[in-house]
Amino acid sequence: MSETFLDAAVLVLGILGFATLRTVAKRVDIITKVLAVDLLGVLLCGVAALLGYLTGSEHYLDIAIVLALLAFAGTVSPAQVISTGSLFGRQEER
Amino acid sequence: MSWVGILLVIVGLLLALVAAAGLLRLQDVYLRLQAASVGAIGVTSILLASLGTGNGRIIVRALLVATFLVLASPVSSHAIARAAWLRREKLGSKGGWDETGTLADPPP
Repeated sequence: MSETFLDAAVLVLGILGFATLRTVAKRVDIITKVLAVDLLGVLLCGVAALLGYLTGSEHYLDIAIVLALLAFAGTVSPAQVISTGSLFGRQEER
Repeated sequence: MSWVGILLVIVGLLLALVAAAGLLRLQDVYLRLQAASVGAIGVTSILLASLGTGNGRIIVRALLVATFLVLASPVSSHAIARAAWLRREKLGSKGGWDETGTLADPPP
């Protein structure tokens, strides 16, 4: 029963991930795109954790660690580039 | 997997569903930002469901990822909100206004 439940959970998270990916592809607003990429990384982190529970192997959780780190870096750096114009530059005057 | 794990996975899936639906349906960048933050809470709940597996290695790694998500999600949300405010994104919701006065409409 538990394996079937975890399979269904992975399927649901995959469908939500495809919906988020469609948001990334279709929106023209750049900030919504960055938001959707952030949510996609976090959802993939959840998928990796569920696969780890399903197989009983801890290496999937290592994938989840790396995905969480990459989602954080991939969100903060585009936000910084959008707000100040460069990645390590000074803050713009308003 | 015990019933605690199954319950936490169900809660996490519902929160992730709310996050994706809010990202698709809400009118405004700031409202979508709040909806996307709910998704990190849902995935944290899914990671806490590792307590139901009873495997020590999986539990340690999942708690590490959950701690990092709890610490990193407000930081990235704040960075995106600051970028949106500096770009002067419009408020799309009906009764909302910006109290700093730079975004547009004064309160009704």
